[in-house]
Amino acid sequence: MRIFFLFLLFFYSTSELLANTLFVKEITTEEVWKGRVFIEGIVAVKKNGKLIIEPGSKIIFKTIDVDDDGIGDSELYVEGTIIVKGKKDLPVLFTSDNDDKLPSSWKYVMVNHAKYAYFDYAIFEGAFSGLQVHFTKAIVKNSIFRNNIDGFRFSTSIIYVCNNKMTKNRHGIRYEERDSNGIVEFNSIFENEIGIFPVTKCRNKVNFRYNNIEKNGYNIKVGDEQKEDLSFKNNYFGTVFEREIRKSIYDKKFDKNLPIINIKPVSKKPFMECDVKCLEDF
Amino acid sequence: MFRRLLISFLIFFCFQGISFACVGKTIFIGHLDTKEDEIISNILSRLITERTGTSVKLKKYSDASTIINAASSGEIDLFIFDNIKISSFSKIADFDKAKSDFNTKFNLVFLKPLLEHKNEYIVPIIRKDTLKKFPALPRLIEKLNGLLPASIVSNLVKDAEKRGIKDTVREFLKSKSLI
Repeated sequence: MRIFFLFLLFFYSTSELLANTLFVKEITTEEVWKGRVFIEGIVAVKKNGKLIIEPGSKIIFKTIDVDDDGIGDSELYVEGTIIVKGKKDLPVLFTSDNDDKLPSSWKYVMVNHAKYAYFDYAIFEGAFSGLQVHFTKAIVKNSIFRNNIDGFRFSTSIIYVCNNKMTKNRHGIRYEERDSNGIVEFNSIFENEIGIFPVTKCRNKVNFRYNNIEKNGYNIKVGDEQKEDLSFKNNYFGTVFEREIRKSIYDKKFDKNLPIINIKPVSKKPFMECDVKCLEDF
Repeated sequence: MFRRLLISFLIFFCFQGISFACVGKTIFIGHLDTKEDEIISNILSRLITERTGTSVKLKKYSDASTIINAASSGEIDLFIFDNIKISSFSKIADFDKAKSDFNTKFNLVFLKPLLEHKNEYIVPIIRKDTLKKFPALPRLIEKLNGLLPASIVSNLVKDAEKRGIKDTVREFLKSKSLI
């Protein structure tokens, strides 16, 4: 019995130690994080690994730039499963250890060829990309992306993105659709340099609807290599006047080689909190 | 100290594949330490970043031969030379002959000149490898053709001294509807 308690004590203290500061590390089984977790270097959730992050946790990325490329090197890289379960009053914070929270202080939470990703009530700040999702089914809800180069970035994924705030990033949402499909709805995308940046290979399989996209340098800006016209119907662009809305959308009107962004019908009024109905099942 | 070295080592060697796969590519532009070169390179940098999302970094060099060496060795991807600098290397003034000469000697490709008047020109020069990675880049850079005569560049330099290079470049590109 005593040995058992000693074992428990050892196991608990070891877990606590690991949960405090992580350097280069691979997660290959199920692991739960809560409280403050420091990451210095790369932490990878491998194929069979599962990371669950509890409400109120703070994941703090140390500001290091070993390769001197101006982008912090600390990151969380997920190839397995990640479940981030914040709550409205206890969000999970992904941030840097410096006070300024300048963009690119840390690299990103990267979900790539992963099994599944779920983020609810998370905050991403001061990163190169707050969250990147590629080749993965992912749900991102009720979260805040602020002061990053790219707030939320995705490609080739099945995504549901609902009721998030993207603000003060270079790009609120940046995406290369490729074979993605999904829905982006009820998000507030404001005061970014570019609200939404469809870079290339976008084909309208991701439905952007019921979003408030306003007060950005450009609300939407099409990438130079995007070929197909794109549809952003039923969104609110900060005004009802079409001429004003068109000024905030960088497309064929600015450069004849670019495709057209179709916005009609536009919402005449912003979507309010009471309008938000995120899908339970996706 | 030892811990930091160990972390650096592990980041570089254990996870190099992961790390480099996802930040995206970076284009390095080399330029001479003159106000004119700096402003043109900043314009190029901003245009590429804003239109493609690709990160661009500028590197300053003290003389033209160092830029050529940097491009040949892969330290930079792109730079801009005028006919005077080009002829100092290839001893050929004619654009097409110089183009072929640079291609053979240095593995560098001339894009369409930004400015061309009689035998005078300013031309973006790019590494062949970079061109393979960014095949659409020439088409984008061509949008600057004819927009940067010496008088405009000189005004932009003056403007940058007053308001800073970032705002000057941004406003210039916006005024041309390029960003």
